[in-house]
Amino acid sequence: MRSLSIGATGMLAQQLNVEVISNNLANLSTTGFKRQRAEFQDLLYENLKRMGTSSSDAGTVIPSGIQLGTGVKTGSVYRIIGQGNMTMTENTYDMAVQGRGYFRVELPSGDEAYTRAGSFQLNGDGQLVTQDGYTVQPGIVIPQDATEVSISASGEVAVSVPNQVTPQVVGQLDLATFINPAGLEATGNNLFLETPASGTPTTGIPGDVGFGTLLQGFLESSNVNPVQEITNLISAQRAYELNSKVITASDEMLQTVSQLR
Amino acid sequence: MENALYVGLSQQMVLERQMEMVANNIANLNTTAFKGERPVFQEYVMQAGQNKPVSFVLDYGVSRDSRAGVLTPTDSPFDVAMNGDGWFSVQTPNGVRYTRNGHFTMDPDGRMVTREGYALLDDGGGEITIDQPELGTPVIGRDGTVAQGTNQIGRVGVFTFANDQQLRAAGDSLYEAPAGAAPTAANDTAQVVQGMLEGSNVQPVVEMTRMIDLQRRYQTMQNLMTSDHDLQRTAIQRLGRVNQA
Repeated sequence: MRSLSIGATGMLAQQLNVEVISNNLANLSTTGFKRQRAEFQDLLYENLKRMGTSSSDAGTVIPSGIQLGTGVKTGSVYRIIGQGNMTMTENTYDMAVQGRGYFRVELPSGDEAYTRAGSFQLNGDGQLVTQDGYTVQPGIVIPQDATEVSISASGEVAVSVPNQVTPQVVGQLDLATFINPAGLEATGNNLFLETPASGTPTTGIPGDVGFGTLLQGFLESSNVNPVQEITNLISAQRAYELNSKVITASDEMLQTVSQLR
Repeated sequence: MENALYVGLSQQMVLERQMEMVANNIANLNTTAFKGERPVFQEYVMQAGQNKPVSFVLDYGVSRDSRAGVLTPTDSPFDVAMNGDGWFSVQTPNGVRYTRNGHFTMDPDGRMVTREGYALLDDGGGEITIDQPELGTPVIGRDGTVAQGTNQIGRVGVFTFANDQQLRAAGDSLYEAPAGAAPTAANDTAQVVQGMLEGSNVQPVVEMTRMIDLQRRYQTMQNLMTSDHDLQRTAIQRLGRVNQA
């Protein structure tokens, strides 16, 4: 009976749905995390009576035919790029992007990765680095004697040094934007890589049109909305149950057949 | 004498097929822009020699529920839903196909494509290419106009058919138009909504009740066939007892 296997494809799809939702919920408090969404598609159809074929010599045509669907499959699991909430941390090197831009990070391999998690720190050389110690591009070095570091909305890094009245500019942060940020490949550790689907990065100064501005002392939290996720979870669970009911019902129908003497 | 068995069999066969459709509807409960399907049955009358005709049941066709599904926001600028009657058209290797699944993305050439890489077509049958990444995310207007900043790039084509039931499902949320069915551009009647996707229009409660109903009918028919079987057996046993004085 086909409905047994159709029900199974439905259960598999909902299982994946629950997996995506649980990953979103697990990353509820992950800095700069962007939630994901599973999207499903119908499987191929079986034509038992093809529509449009003729049903008589006079040329009459079967209008609708009989097509049987064979279940569901996962179309894609894609990322939803929406601004997360700003959380104040009062940490000097914490930065949030208000807008579309991504910080550029140099990986140990020399490749560039992109992140929205602006929880940066200084390494032993005074360089601005991520939690994993990867340098933030373009490299910014804070002098050892700096007493105060301020990062402006447009990414200008200025430090106050003793015996100098005016703050000294030590660098300029920039941001990268993508035409299709949903196409970026997540590599974990809050980092994303460029893919053909994301398009090539365009680099610009915070404050330029479309790049967004920086906010020092803040972090962007995840854009996961727990209420929405729980609602999705309930609906996925119920859909899973419905599919299992389909399997039970099909099984009972088969059972009636087997009882026929 | 065996007619009852065969009539019952004809019903069990169509019920089984109906069960498969219910299963497919339920499996696609969360499928983007999925349209629920129902079988259409018809009576097949056999003139059985005597004055009483026997009617069997046959499945005749499939009717697709064309109501729109619920729109859900996704915040993705490449996701578009349609408010109203109409279809998006995409270019596949096998020809133009129609879909209401508006989950598009961008390919390396900047074209708006489905996740299989089929190009979304504009109202004139051309592709929509976003070739100026520096201008930022495209904005899609209610009438389908795709713009980046003040630059208008194209217009998402929206098409309607005289009879949507003629469209043949091809899987992957795509539908194929039969030869001769010409679509008409409908950009002025249907509205395109950016950042939303259309859900499936399957109503779980309805499907569940249908499933229970057909399962019971299946059992009823089974009982009827068993009774008929018993009747025949008893008849043979009784008639077989010749000397029962």
